[in-house]
Amino acid sequence: MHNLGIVISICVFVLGGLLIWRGAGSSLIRLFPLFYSYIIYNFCSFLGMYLIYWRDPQLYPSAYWLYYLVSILAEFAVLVEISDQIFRPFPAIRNLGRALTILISIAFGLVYILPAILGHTPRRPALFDFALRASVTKAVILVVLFYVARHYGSELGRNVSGLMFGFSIYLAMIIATMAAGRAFEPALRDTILWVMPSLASALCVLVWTVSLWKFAPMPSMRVISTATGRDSESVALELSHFNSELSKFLHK
Amino acid sequence: MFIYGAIAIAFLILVSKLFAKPRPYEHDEGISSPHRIPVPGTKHWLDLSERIFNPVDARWLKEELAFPKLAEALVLERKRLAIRWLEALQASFEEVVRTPVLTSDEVSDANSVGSWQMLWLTLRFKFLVSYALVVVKLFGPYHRLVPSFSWLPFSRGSEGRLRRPALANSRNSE
Repeated sequence: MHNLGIVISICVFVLGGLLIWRGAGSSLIRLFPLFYSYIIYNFCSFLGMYLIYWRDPQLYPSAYWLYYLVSILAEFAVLVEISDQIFRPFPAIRNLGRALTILISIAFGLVYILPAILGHTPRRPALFDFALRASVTKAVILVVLFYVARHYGSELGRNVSGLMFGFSIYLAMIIATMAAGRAFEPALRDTILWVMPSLASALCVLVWTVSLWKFAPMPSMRVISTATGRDSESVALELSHFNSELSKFLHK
Repeated sequence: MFIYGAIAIAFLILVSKLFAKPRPYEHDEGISSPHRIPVPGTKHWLDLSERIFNPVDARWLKEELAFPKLAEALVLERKRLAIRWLEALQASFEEVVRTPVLTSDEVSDANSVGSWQMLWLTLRFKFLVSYALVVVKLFGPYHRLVPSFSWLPFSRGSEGRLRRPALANSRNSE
């Protein structure tokens, strides 16, 4: 089991490197800046963590938890990237995904995550609960983004679909793993925690590598008629016009 | 543990269902073609809305011609028209929002102030039109959408002064 965990982690590292190499070779790294920042952060952290593991094994558990907690927060960058990409072709609601992500994060952070951290006195259950609840929050955000994207008829394209699908697999596996980690006895729990998060990351990064192998424009971007000369400014004018017309009626 | 396991499975099932191709948006959803409402923003459209939301005709039937039942029927018909007019306005707005636009820069300017302002205008419109629809459906087209505060003693006089000349002008223009 120990070696399996290391092999899976090395697979994640290789796939991450491949993803960065492909992204740097194409325009993808410029189009998905937050996502590639997260991948580069993970790639560098992996190197750092293995250096600590071989040089100072006593320090490794504390370093791992610190890395893991920062990763939980860094994963929100992937959500913000997904939310930006979904609504990119629609100037009127371009920031809707970002607004939803921020609002749901704040609401769940205050009502769902924070009480779990403050409620526990031992450190370990608190860390498990934090990881679990943060993952549930991310899953909720992802479902809401999926739903709103469908509502507005946003066709996601291979790149963004892959990002969302890979992240969904990862979140589902992390939720199950952390729930199991809370329930099982320490020996079994440590085995699960050694293998499962790495396996979840491996599957996620595999889906990301396949879907982001090359740039695939969103289907909705292909049908844009440039002949009409419609741009963001004209949309802003139309929105203001609609609002002022409606306001007139409201004040009658 | 089992609850979170179920959450994880339900999440994956939900996501796979949501991955299905979205239904294309139809512009004239719910608005039949023989009764198309004029294009929003045009003079005809504005004239129509003025007529629908103006209580003068119903008052004239009820008070001057003394046909209360006919006036009631007219109010009901105007209510139906007002709802259709608001729904048409909403549909036109949805079309503006859902039409993709190619930006000069391929990278999205998600942080720009303009994008947040446009989002605010979009949400504001959606909230106001939903509110207007609720008010029209519940109280009819001639109910004030913004509370008048006429129950306050100091506002009663000024409101009456404002309303009377407006009523007179609208009758003269016909």
